[in-house]
Amino acid sequence: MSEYVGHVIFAQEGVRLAQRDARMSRAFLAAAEAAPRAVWLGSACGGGRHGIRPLMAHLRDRLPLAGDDIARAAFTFGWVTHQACDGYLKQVYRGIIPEYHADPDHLKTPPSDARITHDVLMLRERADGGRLAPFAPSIFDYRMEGHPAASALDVPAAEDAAALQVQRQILKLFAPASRRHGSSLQDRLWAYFRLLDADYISLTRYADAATDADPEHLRRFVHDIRFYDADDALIRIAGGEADPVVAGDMDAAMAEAEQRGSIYARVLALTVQLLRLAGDVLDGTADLDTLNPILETQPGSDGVPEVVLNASL
Amino acid sequence: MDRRDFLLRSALVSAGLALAASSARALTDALVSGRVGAQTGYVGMASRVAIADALRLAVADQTTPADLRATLAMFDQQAVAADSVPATPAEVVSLLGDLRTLWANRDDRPHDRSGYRGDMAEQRLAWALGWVGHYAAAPVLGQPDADVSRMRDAALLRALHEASPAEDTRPDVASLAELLRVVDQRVGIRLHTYTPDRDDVVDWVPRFVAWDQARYDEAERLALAVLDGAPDLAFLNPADPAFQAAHAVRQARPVSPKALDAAAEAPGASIYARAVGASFRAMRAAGHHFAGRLSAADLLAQLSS
Repeated sequence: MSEYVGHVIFAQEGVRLAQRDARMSRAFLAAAEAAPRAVWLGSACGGGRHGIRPLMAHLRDRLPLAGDDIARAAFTFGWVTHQACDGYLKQVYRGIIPEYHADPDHLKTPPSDARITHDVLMLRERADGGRLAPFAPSIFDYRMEGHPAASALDVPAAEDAAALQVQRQILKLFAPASRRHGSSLQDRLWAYFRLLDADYISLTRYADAATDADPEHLRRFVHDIRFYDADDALIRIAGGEADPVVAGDMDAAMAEAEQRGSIYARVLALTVQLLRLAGDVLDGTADLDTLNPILETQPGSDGVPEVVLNASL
Repeated sequence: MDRRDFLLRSALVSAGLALAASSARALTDALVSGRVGAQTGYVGMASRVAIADALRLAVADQTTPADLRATLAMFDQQAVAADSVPATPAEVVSLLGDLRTLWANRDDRPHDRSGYRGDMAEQRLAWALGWVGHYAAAPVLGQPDADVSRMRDAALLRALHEASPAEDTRPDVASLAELLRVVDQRVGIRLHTYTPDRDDVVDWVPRFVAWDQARYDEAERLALAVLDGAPDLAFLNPADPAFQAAHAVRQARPVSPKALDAAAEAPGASIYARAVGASFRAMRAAGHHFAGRLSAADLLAQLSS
């Protein structure tokens, strides 16, 4: 997990948990429900440690939210879930694949097999095999061959074209470079190289993992660390399987996750915790420094639990 | 409109200035002041793929220096999006000269993504080649609006499909639109995560959200254009030599030097083929300059011709 698909799924978990959490800011949740695409987009965005605070500083003076501010709040909601995932899971990945992270030259091909394994598992377990929006069951196909319209296009060529178009359209959204950099060609180029989102992840590896998962990957990255357990109370609440939650149930489920939950349940607990903090800041019941655990999500630091691998053993 | 006027006009619109309020001095200032992410008109797929096709031909072209071809193959994305950085031909030719000197004095030439001792030389070289390719193709491609761009994109998608061995069936519009939206999700995976505009985040977020919604809405219109659009051989004729040669490279089929020369010199009559041909010729010329076989003055003259 902690790649695009995993982040979007986790944002959806965040919305479902917030809907069942009596402690959550109503304004924050209402924005997320009103603009789901903005939530997904925010969850797939890096750089939250720099962006969340200025957004919240803008939003907290503007309740009740309207217009673009709803989109801003929804985007922030997704961005907070991204921070929860990254903050916890990056530590997990350093623990379970030290050989990957030990490479001083960072030459290993990203993403790691662990992340791909987790993304594939999450799509199956938490997005109904891709039937939940914005996905489709064919998303991890080699050429989307399982999609009924796939024979109308050369999918790989169309996908390459779309990637080039998306990269360029996104660049067009940035503010003028001259506002923050000098105007020499060198300055413009440095800004360009920094802002261009590289197209570098191979979908073939996802297709391989989705069609024929490596048993060794499953053992190391799922079973041995108890990555996911569908019986965890918090996972059941997020999936709508548990009874409607009254005040206190969410806290009990979060405490259970932190004591003996799977890694997935722990990330859910952290997600709820950070969304609550952000919601308090939005509502004006907490100051902007309350966002610090969201911006600096280091497990073990103030407000963020320690990483625990395989809590059941 | 000659090329200089075209470029100045582009820069002007990029800078958000009204054409009528322009003076020559304001035009020049706008051109060099720099704006990442500015561009005129709608960013369609076809204009991207035309430059990517020219790049494919340059990478396959034995007359282009090997170092340059390896760099283009590795940093193709930096080349294809090069038009997001405004510049003048003189600036780019000057940069190529600097890079040639830098290359000549290197003790090794690593082609990894970190560049050579952090100088980003490979990225800059790829950008320069991509920029001249865009510069040469721009007068051919023009600045189509969203409606014209959509018809062109549909024509391109149909041509790519016809050139592939897939069976031909006709889905309904809704199904094809959904497929295009999942393609966007897959592009999201390929890009890993989006880079935010840290310096302008409060205004950037609504722009980004609106862009995403517009792309979602556009999928339905593009699907309809793919399924029901009339053939437009004036824009793209799949029989044109430039399209044929680039498609062969795309499919990892061998391309003869003769076919590459034809793609450059007699690319075909369609807009797409002429854009690919002009772009490839400019990249070739820039390659000759990088290799010391063409003077800066001659390269500038060729770009202005």
